[in-house]
Amino acid sequence: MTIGEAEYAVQAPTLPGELFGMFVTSTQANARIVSIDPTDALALPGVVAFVGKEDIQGKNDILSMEWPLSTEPLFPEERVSYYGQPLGLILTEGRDYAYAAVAAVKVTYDDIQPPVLSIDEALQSPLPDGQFPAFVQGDVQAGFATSTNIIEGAMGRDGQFHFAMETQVCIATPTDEGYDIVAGTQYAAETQRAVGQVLGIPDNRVNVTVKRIGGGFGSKISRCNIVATAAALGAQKTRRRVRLSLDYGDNMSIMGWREPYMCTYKVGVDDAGILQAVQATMTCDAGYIGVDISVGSAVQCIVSCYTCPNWEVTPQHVFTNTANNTWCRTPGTFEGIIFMENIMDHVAIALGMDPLEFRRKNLMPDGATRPVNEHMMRLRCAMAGNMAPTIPKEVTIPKNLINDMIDQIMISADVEARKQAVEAFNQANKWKKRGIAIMPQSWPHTVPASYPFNAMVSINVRDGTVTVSHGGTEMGQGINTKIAQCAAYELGIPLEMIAVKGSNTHTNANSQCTGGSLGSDIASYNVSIACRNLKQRLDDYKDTIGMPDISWPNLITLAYFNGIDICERYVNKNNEVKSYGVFGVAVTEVEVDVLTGQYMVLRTDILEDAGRSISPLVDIGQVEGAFIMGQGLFTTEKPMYDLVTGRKITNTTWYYKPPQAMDIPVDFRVTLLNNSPNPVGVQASKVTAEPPVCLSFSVVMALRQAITSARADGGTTGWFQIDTPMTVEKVQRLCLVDSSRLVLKST
Amino acid sequence: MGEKYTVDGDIPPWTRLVDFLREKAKLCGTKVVCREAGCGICTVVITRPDLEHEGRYKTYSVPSCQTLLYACDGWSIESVENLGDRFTGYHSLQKALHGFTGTQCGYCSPGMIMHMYGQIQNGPLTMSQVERSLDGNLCRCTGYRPILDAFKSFAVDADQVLKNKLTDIERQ
Repeated sequence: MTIGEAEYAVQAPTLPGELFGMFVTSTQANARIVSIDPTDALALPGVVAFVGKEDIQGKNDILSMEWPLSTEPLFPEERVSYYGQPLGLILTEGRDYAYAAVAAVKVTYDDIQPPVLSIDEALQSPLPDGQFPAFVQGDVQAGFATSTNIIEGAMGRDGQFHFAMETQVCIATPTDEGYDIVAGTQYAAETQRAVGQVLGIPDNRVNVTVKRIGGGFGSKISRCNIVATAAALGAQKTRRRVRLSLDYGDNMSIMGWREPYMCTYKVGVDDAGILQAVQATMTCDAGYIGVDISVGSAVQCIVSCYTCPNWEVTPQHVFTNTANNTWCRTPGTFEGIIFMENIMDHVAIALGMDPLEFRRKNLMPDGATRPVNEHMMRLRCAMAGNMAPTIPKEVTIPKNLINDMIDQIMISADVEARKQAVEAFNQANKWKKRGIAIMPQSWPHTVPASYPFNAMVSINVRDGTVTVSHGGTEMGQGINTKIAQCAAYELGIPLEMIAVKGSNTHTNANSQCTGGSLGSDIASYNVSIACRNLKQRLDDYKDTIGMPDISWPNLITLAYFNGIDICERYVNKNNEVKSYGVFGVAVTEVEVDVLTGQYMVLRTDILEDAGRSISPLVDIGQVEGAFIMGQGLFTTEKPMYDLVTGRKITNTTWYYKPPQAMDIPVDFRVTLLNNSPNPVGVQASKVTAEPPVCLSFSVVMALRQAITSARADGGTTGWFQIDTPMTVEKVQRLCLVDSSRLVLKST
Repeated sequence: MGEKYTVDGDIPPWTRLVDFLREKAKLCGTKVVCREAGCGICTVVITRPDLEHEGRYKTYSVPSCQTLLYACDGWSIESVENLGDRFTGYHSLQKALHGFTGTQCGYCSPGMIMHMYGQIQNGPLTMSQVERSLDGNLCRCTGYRPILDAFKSFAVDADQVLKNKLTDIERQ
């Protein structure tokens, strides 16, 4: 990687005869297509073909089993639904020719309607059909009746671009049997099925391979199929190799992002500060089509690590004239957890209680049950082609580690003393304010009943080295590292003897999507079991021949020549890999410049429950990266649209800002919880890729404290609504600096 | 040392250095992402005549997506392939980025390496200079902390813990 030779889809240099593809995209967000005329474009030098919906010999649908109730056209049939929607593909002899050719394709529209771009606008119309069921426990009305305080509020949370460094890519090569597809996909099997479906050819004519991808974060689960099917279609039409590697602007416009969300709530609490009822409505903006909607699971994740007898949380999704929003690192789980933290802050402030003390009063007891993330389970089972009629309603958490973890971080992060220091600082400073917040969470790791990965372990006979492929996609989360460690551990041989290969749809056929933190978890499990079975077979053979001290290479050679199978395949059966809760606590301190709204994250401490980590360095990397990705979502990353045309304005690095090196906490301390093996986890571990994203909400909580102090100086107290991202200008406005306070000091 | 390239009219005038490196020179270690100097991934190190001091040369890192090929006349270009590889051994910066687990998906890594390689050409840096120099290179996976640690371990005022870790990594 550090020398640039690691292989990604577009690592290969261009081959002679290869075509370069670029999408023709819509310049209207809500209109009927009258005509698409590529005549002028085809007359330009270097232009080979235009591929449109007329060229589709199979079905104009890029989804196969990813979400079986939905369809999504590769190219729209009648109307365009968002600005930047792909309408066709221009194929040229090279990138240089593509820009002019795409611009020369004439598209005409009529019935142009104003675009709907936000949740607020979409809620002006009736909700679309197919809304998900509410999460209900107990009776909220009874809960409100026993409450002495009723608190109502709202919070908005805007979308986020995944910002995988590698854009959506695919190279499709016609072969003597069909098509070789090298794609940047998190879900190779679905890409294979989608290509077969769109091209109208059998799936066994489509070979999809993926060695590694330059970041995924959920953006390459269903969205990769847009480029994969288009490239394959181009290869089918021209009988030439086609490369599609989106420019960043196209990538940001064509592809959907993390869903924007809005949450309204009404909470009842008694005089002792015990939650009585939580009633809330969460609304997500699904984009133009309802394919990857997370709100059904968000409502079930709201419980986090808290307890309350009565819940009624209603999910709704709306459609807008924006790209189809998609999975993004901890979808649904994220919204449930952070909206609940917002509620906890609101109630604590309304009651005049310390936010941490209020939280601790309402933590779930040991042995509490948590609702299973049923929507996500159903969805993922459906992705595996299994409709899973019986899904458990809840899972028991034998021990709530949060209390202990809070105790531990209070000491390790020196929270009490720092709280006092922050208070003193805020007393002494008018134009600089600090805030410190502590956030606990319980993240429901949900393994669907049916979620197979197809792992293959082969021992090579000459030297006993081992080759593994596992059906997951390496995208930086360290799946290959964990797999190699599991294989070496189970076989009892050095790590250097293990090589992990890329995934392909033959060796690892029908494997599930690498998402939801499930890839590393289940693939590690399957490789462990395959290796355990192999080891057992070899140990038995060793006993048979009575040579306990035989070296590994000699054992392998001997076994091989005596007809012992030295390869093993393993696929997890239904309900074999278990669900559990992942705990985490974060403490974040910020400093705000009241006059400008600029701020800095001074320090963040995270205590993360990784079980007995398979690979601590990988897991710490996951925790840190996840936290910073979430920090970006809550602070600097703001999607914006042209309200007239519906064009996404923030579709370049100049207008859309993920965190940079200087944005991270000045002092950043991540610790994995000691001595906490997970009894039901894979190799006693817990997943780490997604949960810590949620902990970044502690930045918003700390900002609230700092801003509250600034407002108090101007005489305004009490709760105020925060809609993220907390951009500099928003923080400045929330501080309510009145010009009357800006006077020169008279001495 | 390096290979000399002569280009004539068959390459269009708008060709960017990064496309030449990847397509013509077949040096695909340099990645390209944003094509607008916003991500730092395509960074290479150039040495060119110093126009202010005749006879002298300047060496520094540039985004090769914003460098027109025809502007490189007489320049020497170093891409990541020149630093080291598994056959000839790795450069210390490469060892450090790997050893400090500063790579996850790895896509930004060559650009990070070349950026820092360009920075250290003109003398050693302080930790603060390392931090401030990195704001042109994006990484979505790591959250930067391990990358900063890796590069800060080369700083003149580096923390002893980082220095020790670097020594350990180099010994391996």
